[in-house]
Amino acid sequence: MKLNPSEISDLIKSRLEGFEVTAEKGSEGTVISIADGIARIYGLSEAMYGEMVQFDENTFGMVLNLERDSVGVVVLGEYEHISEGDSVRCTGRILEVPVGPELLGRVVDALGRPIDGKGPIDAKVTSPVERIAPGVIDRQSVDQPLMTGIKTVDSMIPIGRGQRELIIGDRQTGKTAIAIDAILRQKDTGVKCIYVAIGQKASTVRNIVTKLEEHGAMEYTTVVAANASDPAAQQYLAAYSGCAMGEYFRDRGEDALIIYDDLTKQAWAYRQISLLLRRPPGREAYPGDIFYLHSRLLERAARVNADYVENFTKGEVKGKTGSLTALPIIETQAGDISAFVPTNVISITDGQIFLETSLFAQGIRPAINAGLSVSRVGGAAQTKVIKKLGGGVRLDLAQYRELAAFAQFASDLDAATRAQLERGKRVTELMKQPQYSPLSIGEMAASLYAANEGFLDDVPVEKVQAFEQALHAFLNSSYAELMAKLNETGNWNDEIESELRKAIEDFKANGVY
Amino acid sequence: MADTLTIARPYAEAAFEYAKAHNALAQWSELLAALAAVAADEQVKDLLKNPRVTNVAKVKLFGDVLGDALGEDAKRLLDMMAEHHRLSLLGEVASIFESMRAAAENRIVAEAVSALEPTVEQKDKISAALKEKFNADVQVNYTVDPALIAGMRLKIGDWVVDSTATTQLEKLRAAIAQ
Repeated sequence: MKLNPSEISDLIKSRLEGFEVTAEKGSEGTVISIADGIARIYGLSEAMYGEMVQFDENTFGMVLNLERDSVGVVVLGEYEHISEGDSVRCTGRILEVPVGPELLGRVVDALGRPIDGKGPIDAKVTSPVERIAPGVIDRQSVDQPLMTGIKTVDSMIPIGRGQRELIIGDRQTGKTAIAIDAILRQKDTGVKCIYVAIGQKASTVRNIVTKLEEHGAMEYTTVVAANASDPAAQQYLAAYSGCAMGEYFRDRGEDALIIYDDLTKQAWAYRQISLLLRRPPGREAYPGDIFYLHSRLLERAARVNADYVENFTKGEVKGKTGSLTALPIIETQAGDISAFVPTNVISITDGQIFLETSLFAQGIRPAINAGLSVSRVGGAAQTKVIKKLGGGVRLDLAQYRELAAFAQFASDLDAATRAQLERGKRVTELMKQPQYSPLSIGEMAASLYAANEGFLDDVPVEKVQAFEQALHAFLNSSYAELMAKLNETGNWNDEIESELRKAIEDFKANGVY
Repeated sequence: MADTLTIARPYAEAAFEYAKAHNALAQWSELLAALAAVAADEQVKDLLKNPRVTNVAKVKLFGDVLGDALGEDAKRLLDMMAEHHRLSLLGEVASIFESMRAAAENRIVAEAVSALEPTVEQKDKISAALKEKFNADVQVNYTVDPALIAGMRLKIGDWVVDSTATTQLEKLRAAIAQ
């Protein structure tokens, strides 16, 4: 941003005009000690829990401990310049971040300040980072699908709008890849996306932003980044800030998707803060409220009913429900899902997508273990056609897994078992899907239908993926009308079935793969 | 500071309750102030920290300095504090005692720092305004600090009213630099 001297003087003039000379009054305290981003302050007897306190004009802190003669404050940002004896003032405000559509397409830090070099964000509204989740009366059950464009997920572990679905797995199993594909699939669906990167390498975040830009997904996405080099306080807060940004859309009758990547690191950051605040450590040295840390965050992802939206917008938006879907990510160590934080988050969420290193190594990507992954509420929200066709695939895979183990020891197999194994191999192959290529409903339906009806049985296993790609290309060009119908309505009836069967038969007769 | 206050509080509370019951608040407050002054002496501080000096000797030191002013009851307080190695907290005990006494007598103490010495009329106005706000007897301690350029800074406990020119200039700088 370049300014010429006259603009600068205009700017200063406007600032001066808006400046009011008033006496400042409020509660004041003194820094007794400052270390590792935690300040202990004497005085501030009027401080509230979670209130922002001001050290100097650019340094703020958040009150986290209220003790008899002192308060414990976590400094948000640099703290090297604060010294013992400095005065600290109460601001009377709870920590707030800017929210609204102005943040879409931007990369911001945990306090909502832009870090993408695209200039200031002109947000009209701010929202407190900590808010109470909607109550029982305000909610509505999840019954609209949120497509991820990933065959395995949408057919077997469907996600509905307003659901919390955990993505869990070891490092390097493709957890982020699933989340990014889900964001890409929201293009043209009107779902706003928020990607919260917690404790990640700055280079990784940069790569993700570049990928989102390449696929035109940044237009409807906000990235909240608290990188590994940022203070623990920001890594802890980023999830709540991102949630506040998502709630903006939920409360105004829109749909939003938020990804927390990942909550393990957020728990680590909170553990660090808690230990420095001298709160007693519990299991794995986490503080006593580590469950509440995640439960209050994930509870804010919800589907709210039209009344709630109408009340919230004071009648401006009528008859529309809002939703915030959360895809939290948890990284396990050596597949140990019974560690403290993974078990907590599994119990809070409405299901989990379980990724396995062994599957990843076998080349099955996304490396989703369909047996251990579940979705507790998504079934009600599944698109009709996918629901109808997905059942067959799930059964095929389940039977295949059982037989595959058995078949390793048996030499002679009867024809039915062999056929089952062959089918299973092909379905497994079909469920592989490259990154950044989410599928439409029509494409997914065609793949699933082809598998269910045995169209794949005479295709060599190694050719299944090529077959699928060619089939999609063929259908999108030659049967565009049928595909459009499927994508729009997601309906399934005899008429559509016969059309789809005809189309696939046509491809098998004339297509090349 | 906060930790020492927390540790000193029970002693101060006990002393306050005792003094109140015996109607000797003023006496005790003088006594504690004297004890605090003794304990604040650099040589005494070293002595109190010295593990080779017995508790009896430490308490005796206070007795020697204060003479007859140190009654039996105050000596018992010192004995107990010595037993728990808290004699170095006498300063905090005295300050908590003072604030408890002020609260009990409905008095508050305000610190006013101004660039110029306020006139008698201004002082009356300030006292009257504070009296109305806090509904208590206000004692204002005035100090002058020319570095403030203009205006006044009033501090009552944690509560601060700041209308000094330096603060305003600092705010102005922040507003322009924003």
